[in-house]
Amino acid sequence: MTELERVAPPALAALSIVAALFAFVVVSGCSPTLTPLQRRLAIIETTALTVGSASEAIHLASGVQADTDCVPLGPSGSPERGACLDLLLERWRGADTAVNGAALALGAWLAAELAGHGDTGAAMAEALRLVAELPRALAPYGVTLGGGQ
Amino acid sequence: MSPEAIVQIVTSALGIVAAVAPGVLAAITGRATDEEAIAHAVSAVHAIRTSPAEKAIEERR
Repeated sequence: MTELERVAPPALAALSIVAALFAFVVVSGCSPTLTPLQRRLAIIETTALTVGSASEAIHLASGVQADTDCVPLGPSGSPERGACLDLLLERWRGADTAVNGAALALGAWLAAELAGHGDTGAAMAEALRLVAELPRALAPYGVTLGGGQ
Repeated sequence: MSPEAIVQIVTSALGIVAAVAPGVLAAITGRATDEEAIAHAVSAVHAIRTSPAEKAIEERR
């Protein structure tokens, strides 16, 4: 794997994270005209950008690894390629689990906001907790969010 | 890395930003209605690709 292949996906993810954090700060601090609902929805939206960037970085990095390690082993459908991809899939399962958990929690938070019931705080806390854990969960896969490796 | 892969990465990154930026800008400037804010938030959450590694790997099987 070349240096560019190793660095590009996490670097792009980091840039997106910086953009998301900038938007988060601006929306949170400089928008007195927003209604409380609009403010919370904007935070959900920028948080979705964070999770989406992490997901895209995983998609690209795992795809590059499959192209490098498994595709050259045989044609599509061959046992050699299939066995290699099975191993790769198992190796990346933790990254998928982390992103899926954050996405589900974010969806639950959004649903709670739209339903308008009182207990949106718990859904928000759970979503933000899982998103905050993403950098640590993805670091073993070489996917770095918001900083260097 | 092939030029196609670079284009794919850059397109993905730009796509994410482009998908979310209008909603954030509208919120910042206070022009968004509740309905617009809801639509943007729902769209952003639904745009998250779930099981990204599994999809990338299965595409190559």
